[in-house]
Amino acid sequence: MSQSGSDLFERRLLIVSGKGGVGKSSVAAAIARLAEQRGKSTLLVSADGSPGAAGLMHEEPEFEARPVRGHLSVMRIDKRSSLSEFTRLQLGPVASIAAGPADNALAFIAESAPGVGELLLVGKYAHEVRTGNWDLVVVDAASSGHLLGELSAASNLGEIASIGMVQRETAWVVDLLADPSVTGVVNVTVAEDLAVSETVEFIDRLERETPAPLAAVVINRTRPRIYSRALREEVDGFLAAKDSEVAPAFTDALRWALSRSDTSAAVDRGLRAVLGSETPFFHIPELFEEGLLDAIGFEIDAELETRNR
Amino acid sequence: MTVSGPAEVIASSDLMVVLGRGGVGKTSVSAALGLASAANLEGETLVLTIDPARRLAKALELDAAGNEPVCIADHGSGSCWAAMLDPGRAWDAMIDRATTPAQAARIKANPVFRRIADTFVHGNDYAAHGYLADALDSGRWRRVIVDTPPSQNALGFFDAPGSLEELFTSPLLDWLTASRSGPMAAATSRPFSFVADRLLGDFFGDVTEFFVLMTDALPGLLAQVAGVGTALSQPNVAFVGVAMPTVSAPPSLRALGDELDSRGLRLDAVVMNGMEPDVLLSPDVEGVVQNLVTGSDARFGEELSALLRPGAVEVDALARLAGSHRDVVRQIDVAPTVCVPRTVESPTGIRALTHMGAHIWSAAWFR
Repeated sequence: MSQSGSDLFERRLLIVSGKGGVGKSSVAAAIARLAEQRGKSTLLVSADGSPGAAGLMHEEPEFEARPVRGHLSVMRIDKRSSLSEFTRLQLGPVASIAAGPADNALAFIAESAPGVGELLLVGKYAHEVRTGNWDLVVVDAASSGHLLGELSAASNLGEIASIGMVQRETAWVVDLLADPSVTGVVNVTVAEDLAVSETVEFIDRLERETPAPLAAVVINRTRPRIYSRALREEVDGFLAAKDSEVAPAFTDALRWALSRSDTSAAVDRGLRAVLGSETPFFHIPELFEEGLLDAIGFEIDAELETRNR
Repeated sequence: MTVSGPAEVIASSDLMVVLGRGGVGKTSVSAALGLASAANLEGETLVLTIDPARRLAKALELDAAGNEPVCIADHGSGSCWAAMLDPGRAWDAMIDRATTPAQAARIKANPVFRRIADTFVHGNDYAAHGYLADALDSGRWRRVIVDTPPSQNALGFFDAPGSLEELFTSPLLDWLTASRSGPMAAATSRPFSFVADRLLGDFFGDVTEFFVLMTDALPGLLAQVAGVGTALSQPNVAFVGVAMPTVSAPPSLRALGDELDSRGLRLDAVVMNGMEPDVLLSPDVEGVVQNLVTGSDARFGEELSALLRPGAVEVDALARLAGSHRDVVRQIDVAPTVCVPRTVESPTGIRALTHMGAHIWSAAWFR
């Protein structure tokens, strides 16, 4: 396997995760569009219970994949509809007899068995990979903590006493998740003070608790570095001197801009040190929301170009 | 109730319910409101949070506290206490009170019950209801602030008792009990138990036992939280929405307002968290930035202007971002809004949260 960033699009399943509010859905949608623009038949799946990334592409994403443009389709899945489909596929006509009023109850029962709901959800998007209908499946997954729970529950099911058919029919899911040429997790974070420690914690848990390998880290909402070290010392000198009282509001604003820039640079350094050179990571500058997806796609594309050069 | 600022919303409420999507800073805002209450008002304020970020729990000294409230600020006449809900323990306590000791022990030993907080759609919400009911009954708290659990829909918290009742009074119980009565099982239950059995194997037996036990305990469980519904409809309850200044904020807050409205309630305030600071938009800054970006500013001279130019370009970019944040807030028409500026460091310590609380307390509504 090459260590270049283009690995990202050579995988078949990219699971995009991150804390709430970091822009995970936008990043997932932008990755899917970029893949589609590269001529890959792509499925974008929202699996966090909200319309999410699929909702950015289509007004009402549903459990059935729907084409939105070119080779890109979207889908929205949840545990309950994944269970219904699994039941239908595995049990055939008899399942429909139990549908209707019993559906909710059946869902509760299935979800109360440890790991079953999680496995069926993860199994649904893994299944989409296995069908061979898509070159790439991009998942807008649950927030970090929940995703770790889903991936580990889905892969630990074998350790729990008889869970019946669900267990027997899904061993392949773990194999698919664990194959680094197929599956990769993309962790989205923001350029804020806690980003490094949170990312380290996520990667550590991903390794210890789940079979899924890390594919990339995206730092969203970065600020540019404004000054070289030498010039920065001069600016700090200015800020410390009485001169700065000439335009106090401007110096306050400048201090703010410098602190944003410093935090962003610290996150960048910190993550570079932690990740080493194997894991690609991408910077997405803080952007206005119009044209956001194109802009994110542009940044990822540019980063991949640089890596491949 | 017309109020001139956020302070009056806090002062005039006995119960504050904080609502919003995950990742917007709901727990921080809840703690900040509690700390502001303690600093400015009399009596004990309880901040009830569920599943907070680990760092925040640590900052609030809650990481090992379980369900016991911990004092996080004491100003003499006013104090603030925080409690982190442990849903497992809260369910245990509710079951203990809902039924006989023997039945309670059997329920608690059932593997399905051990997972109820995670699997029952409103498992955490219901546990929070139980805890809140106790807090309100105790008469100890002058003010209670509830940081609602993250939920698929904004007001899922309110649906917990109803959906618990629905689940355990559904036809499911008949099917399950019939399926246990062997070959004489009712014809309607057969396909259901066939499917469930195939899907889940032995686990199905545990589920059946669980449902039978829970049905006995249900009236006791519902009685324990009956007071919460009444308490939430009182006039001295404030509903506070928290959001970040993104384009999706105004429509999602409007939806939240509509949902409250449909329950005869209303959104009293919005806290917009993570705003770029006001200083970026000061007219003085704009003047200097324009001069520096296009040439030099006479106050600094040529050399210093050249040094400051890249900084001014970045201030200008942030000012546009700040402007777009204000455009978002301007579109919020569902409730008066107070803006909380973002800070260099994430507000996780008591000091930073106290500062946030003081800001909210002394702020005016956004105009």
